[in-house]
Amino acid sequence: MIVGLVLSKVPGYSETFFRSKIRGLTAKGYKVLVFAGSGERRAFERAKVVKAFPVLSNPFLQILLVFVILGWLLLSCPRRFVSLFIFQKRSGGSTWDALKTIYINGHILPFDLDWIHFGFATMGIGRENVAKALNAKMAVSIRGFDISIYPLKHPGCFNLLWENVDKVHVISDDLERKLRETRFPDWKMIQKITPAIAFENFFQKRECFHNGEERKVRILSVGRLHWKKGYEYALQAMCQLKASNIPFVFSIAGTGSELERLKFAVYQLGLEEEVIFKGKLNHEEVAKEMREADIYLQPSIQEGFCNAVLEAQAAGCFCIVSDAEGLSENVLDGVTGRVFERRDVNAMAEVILDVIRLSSESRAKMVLAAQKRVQNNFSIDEQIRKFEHFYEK
Amino acid sequence: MKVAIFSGEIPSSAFIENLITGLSEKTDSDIILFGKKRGSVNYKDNVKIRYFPGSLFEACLFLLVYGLILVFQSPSAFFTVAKLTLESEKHFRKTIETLAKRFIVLSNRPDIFHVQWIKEGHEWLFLKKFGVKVIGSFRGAHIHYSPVANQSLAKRYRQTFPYYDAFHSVSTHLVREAAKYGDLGDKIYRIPGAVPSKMIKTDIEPRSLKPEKILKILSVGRAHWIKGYHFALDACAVLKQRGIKFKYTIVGTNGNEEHLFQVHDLGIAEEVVFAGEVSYQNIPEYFDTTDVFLLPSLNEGIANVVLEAMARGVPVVSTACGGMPEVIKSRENGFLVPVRDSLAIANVLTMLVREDFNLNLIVEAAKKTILENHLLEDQIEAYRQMYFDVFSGKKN
Repeated sequence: MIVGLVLSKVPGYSETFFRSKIRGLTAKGYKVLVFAGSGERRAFERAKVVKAFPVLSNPFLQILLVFVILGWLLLSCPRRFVSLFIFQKRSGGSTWDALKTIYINGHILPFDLDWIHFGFATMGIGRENVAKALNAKMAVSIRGFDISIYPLKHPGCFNLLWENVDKVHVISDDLERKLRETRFPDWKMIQKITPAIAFENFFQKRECFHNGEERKVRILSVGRLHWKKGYEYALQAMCQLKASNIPFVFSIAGTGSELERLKFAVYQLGLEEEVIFKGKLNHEEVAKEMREADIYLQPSIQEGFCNAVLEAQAAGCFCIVSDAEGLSENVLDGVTGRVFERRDVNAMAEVILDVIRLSSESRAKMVLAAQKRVQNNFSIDEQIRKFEHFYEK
Repeated sequence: MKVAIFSGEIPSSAFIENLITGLSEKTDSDIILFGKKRGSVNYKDNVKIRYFPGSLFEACLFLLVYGLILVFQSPSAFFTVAKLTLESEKHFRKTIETLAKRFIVLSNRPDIFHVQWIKEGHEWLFLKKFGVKVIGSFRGAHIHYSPVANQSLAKRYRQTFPYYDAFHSVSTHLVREAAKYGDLGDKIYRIPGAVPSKMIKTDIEPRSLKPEKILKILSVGRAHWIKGYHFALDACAVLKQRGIKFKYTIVGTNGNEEHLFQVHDLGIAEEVVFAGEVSYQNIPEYFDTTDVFLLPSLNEGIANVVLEAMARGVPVVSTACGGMPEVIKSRENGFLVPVRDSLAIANVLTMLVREDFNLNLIVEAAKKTILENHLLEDQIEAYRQMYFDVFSGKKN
């Protein structure tokens, strides 16, 4: 079976989700092609990488290139060219728009595919008719951003996509529910396949737990500095923790556009001693931080599922997460960690205090339950098996 | 006396434009503006404008023209500034642009060069070599958070602050913050924000807020995190939970991704309106149709919108950030709430609606505050005094 995966860029080394998926599928005998807008062309994980035709800044050269490519496509795959053109015209839009669509998808058209799979729903916008023109099936993976944020500024952006899609992949029940609330046709298939991690890379057997006396409690968050991660709320909760005279250190690993905002919050809240911005860390460094942390905190406002929380559980951190989207499926409240209402600073602080005051035994019990659950339910083998099922059935 | 008011752009933001127009009414000083052209302006005759180049071609042209003028005026100044620039600038384009700008300023040599944004001040301290006095203004962001997050900026402040002839600050709080970067000594002039007296509304109707009516809340300002709208929106969610009927209008933004998501996620999309950008002239309309003005900011010098709201007879609920407590005394001429506290915002608004608080006294007291401390006419006079002091070498 041949699967074409459409992404905005070739997955980098750190993007384990696509890498492990591609590796798993090729190992099972699938042929995988990666269609990407940018990134290195070099093949990886035995998948062929095909890059999109460039968008040039010089309009004259761009028009010239469009005509050359269109001419070449017309000669090499005339039927697909014509059928995509007709589908585009039927979906509404001018002749020029239809030709632009053909150019944008020109790198995909020549290939014979069984499935064309959009890695994000937003990647499918403007490509809704490509699968039909290829006579292939269309799959779309949906992330939190696709459903919760993007349509707010672009209402109705997925209408045509939902009309044409054959199967949708979501990473959490919450996303399926949200998708069903939109204009998604009732009868179409949605399959949940949660993210997965290489458990053994993070696993650590925890023997001793911090008992709040001889050293500071180590609290960790991992993820880029973006408003959706809710760090500002976390910092306010830390302020309450400080007021309760709990000695702690809160480390945030990641960089991003909100550094100034967060540093100012730290300054204004008087947390310079307690909060450390670790900057961007690589995989090994993140794993190390997780092994050393007592509590892993995910204060997100919006979060599809969150791989870092899976990794932290494997590393034996006690995970405290908000109830944003898929997070409460990632951590089961009171069973494998604790969950609080997103944006609720008081609730967050209270839960953290509760956890610090918890007996070592109760903490160890939950951490062990979390490790077991992650190992059993979120393994890459399991994920690949589900993807096979996704494409076969 | 020739005073240069420098903000980098012509026209500049509303309060700087107010300063320019106000100063130009006084005939005893000449004003010169430098900066990039952003739109058309109309000033009195004693305001001269020298635009900075907008393209590399213009930069080359201006370099030639103003270079020639400067050579004739003062060859030594020409060579000194050329040497100075060539030594410090490495990049070709930047060198051309910097030289052009410096030639423009020096060939129109002002007595006082007033930098409105302190972050850019260091680029103009070289003027002191040519007998020009340099004043820097402290305004919010450049002191509040930029040097907190950016260590090299903090270092630059420490290195350059001793060289300014004077500083203007809109609030005492800002002076305290700025003093962390060096001894400001007696070089400080505190001149707070102000509103033109024509903006003051004389016929203020008595107001009372009733629980059965929809409470109209207004904020004005761009969608930047320092404005704290995310806390205001959280407060709105609390109001809704309490069953209070309200409509929250934010002027100055169409809602960025964060705010749109928050409004949607909190289920308050019906109650919140992002009114987009509104021209300065049309803002009073919004003041005149709202019940309460809300400033949820995390920091401000002194927010001019609050002064405007007070002048228009609108009760203000503001965070006690930056210089705001220097304007508002809680429950006397407005209401103060702690920063980053959405519950406190919600509580004050709830109290106003449910307890039928007598707002007429508050509004009257607010108007009095404006008349006494924040009139544009007085502010202009204070600026003039500062310029004269600095010009004549008199200490503050």
